[in-house]
Amino acid sequence: MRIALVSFAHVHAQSYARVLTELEKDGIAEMCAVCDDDSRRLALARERFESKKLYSDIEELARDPDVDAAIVTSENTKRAGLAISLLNAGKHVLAEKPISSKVPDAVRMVQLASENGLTLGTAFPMRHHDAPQSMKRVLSDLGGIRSISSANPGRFPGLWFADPGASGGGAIMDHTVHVADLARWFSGREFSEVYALRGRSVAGEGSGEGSGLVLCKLEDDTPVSVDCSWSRLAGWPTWGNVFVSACAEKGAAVLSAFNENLWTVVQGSYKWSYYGPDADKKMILDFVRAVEKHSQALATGTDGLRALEVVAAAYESIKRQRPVKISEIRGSGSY
Amino acid sequence: MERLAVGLIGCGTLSSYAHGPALRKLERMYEFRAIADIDPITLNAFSKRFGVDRKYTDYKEMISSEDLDIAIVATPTPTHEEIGLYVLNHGVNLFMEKPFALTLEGARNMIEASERQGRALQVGHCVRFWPGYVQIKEQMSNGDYGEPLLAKAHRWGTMPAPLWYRDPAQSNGVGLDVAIHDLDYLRWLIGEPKSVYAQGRFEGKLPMTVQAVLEFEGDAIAYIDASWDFPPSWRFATFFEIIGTKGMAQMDSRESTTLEVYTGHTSSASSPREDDAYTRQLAAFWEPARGGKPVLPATDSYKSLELALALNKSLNGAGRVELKREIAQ
Ligand SMILES: NC(=O)c1ccc[n+]([C@@H]2O[C@H](COP(=O)([O-])OP(=O)(O)OC[C@H]3O[C@@H](n4cnc5c(N)ncnc54)[C@H](O)[C@@H]3O)[C@@H](O)[C@H]2O)c1
Repeated sequence: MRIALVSFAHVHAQSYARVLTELEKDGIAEMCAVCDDDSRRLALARERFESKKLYSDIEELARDPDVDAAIVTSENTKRAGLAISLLNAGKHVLAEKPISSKVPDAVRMVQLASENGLTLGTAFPMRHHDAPQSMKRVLSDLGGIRSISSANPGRFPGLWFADPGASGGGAIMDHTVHVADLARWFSGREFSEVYALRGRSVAGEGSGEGSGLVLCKLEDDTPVSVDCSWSRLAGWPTWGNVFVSACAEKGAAVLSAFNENLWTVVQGSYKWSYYGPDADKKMILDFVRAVEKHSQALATGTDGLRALEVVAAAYESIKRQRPVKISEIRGSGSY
Repeated sequence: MERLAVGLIGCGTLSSYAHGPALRKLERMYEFRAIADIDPITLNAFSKRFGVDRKYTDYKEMISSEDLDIAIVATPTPTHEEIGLYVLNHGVNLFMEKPFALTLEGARNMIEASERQGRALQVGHCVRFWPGYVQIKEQMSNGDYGEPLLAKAHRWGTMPAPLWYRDPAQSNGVGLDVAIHDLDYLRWLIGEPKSVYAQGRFEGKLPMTVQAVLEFEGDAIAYIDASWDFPPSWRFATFFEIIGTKGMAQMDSRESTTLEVYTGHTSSASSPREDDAYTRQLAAFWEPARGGKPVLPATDSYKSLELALALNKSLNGAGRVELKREIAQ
């Protein structure tokens, strides 16, 4: 299977490129092309992936018959446009999270994929990390989930992430979806309502919020909280973590997904060096298998859309200073 | 050092692990003179354990028979107002467990009685004396973190055993009983909040888990998470995090154990210390009880009760609650 990497704008593209290189060595998939609308990034890709085809225009890539599928790791606000071009041309797509910055665009992506019989996956690597996978199994034996408290604190990623024009927001747009998706996946229930607060923007780095506290209810009123803040300051020994604590009828499970680290001092500074599971690799493998089998990825486009609805409701709640129902976000659109 | 005579009313769970041991450590300040509890079995067991011979099943009798300087009240929350008023109106300084009272009126009545009688009144907001929390407050005051932007507090435990906690009318649930600790601490650390919104998990009408977010004057927002929903095998845990414009701090009780003990099939983990928070908070009451300046004024604790009740209002369906600056004088 031949996969194109579309845009190196998102920091996760580096890890996906690494995975694709590994899959190529294993003879599982081939990274056949790179497309980037930024000439500086494209020049870097040219140095790094000499043998690959390079495109600056998505329409040209979409016309390339040698491309079966693409991973779209652009800025959030560009993702839907790129994905729609690819889906229109019959390419399977794995979309970086959030699937898009706008709900109607995500709806369009999901519809197109289904109309054209294509696999559309959302890059939710947490579903492929072994600890949450175990947690899902454990929770299924503990009776109904009563409450979920979660956090995805991270370092401010820099670049365009706090520029709403490119990111669609700030920390809420960037980090809510991973843990919101886990809550949906663990509980098997949909979100119904959201109340949120935003924290100040990261000084001098655009107007996107630097932190967010998102309180959600599932359809049966189960409370789910999400801290999506860029709250790991420079000097913190690692990028961040993913925490999910779930209380259920017969017990509780507490996840700290990125706790497997060496505590190191390298060149005089204290750093955590991760040696935990390679969730990105398992996620891309799952996508490859899904395309090969004409089936769905573990995290589908619809899963991406549902998580994005929580984000949209959070922003709406901040604007209106009241809880917002997911149905208000969907409006009259039926999907 | 003048030793003040102390009587303890309510010899239950908290008194056994907090006030009893603290009074034994503070012998140079306090004479642990007498105890009262309506339950004779509890009373006798406590008497034996802490070596206090003068014991009463009627606290009123203790107040009139013993010449007490201080009464510590650690009885179920619905009894706080009645017992507290009795203590103050008989000219005895009052150390009242948190939550101050079930209602603002109850708290106001006690504040008025303490002013009328010229007696000290301190509420057991022990987190203000908890070493790690105190250190965060100090570093914040030093400006180490800059302006506060985000705070988070977890207080996760199991359902307390005494049955009165299970009655929403008596304990008011995990919001008033547990979240009030962090609400009080956040007010101390950051200031007065502008709004609160809460959601939770209920058992019947009893709040068992509370998730709340607050906005403060300035740029800070905060998250509070208090729960009784963890299973019996869970070890009580607290977490606190503060992020500022210049720095941050985080502490997690699960990461700060200093002693683990394993015996057969059971184990324990703790961070024992001579000057624990319960000991510090009682030591801090000595000056005020002698007519000195209050270390933690009851009017301040009144505002924490007000905030906890606002949180409960939101929790019970009021949505976002705007808080007005209503200062109890
Ligand atoms: N500061 C803290 O960290 C903390 C922790 C736990 C409890 N508390 C508070 O302390 C208080 C007591 O809680 P607890 O867990 O020890 O409860 P508990 O039920 O274990 O103890 C209360 C005791 O008071 C006695 N009592 C009841 N009515 C009485 C009366 N009229 N006169 C004399 N004694 C009476 C009971 O027999 C019982 O022994 C509550 O207000 C609770 O919210 C504070």
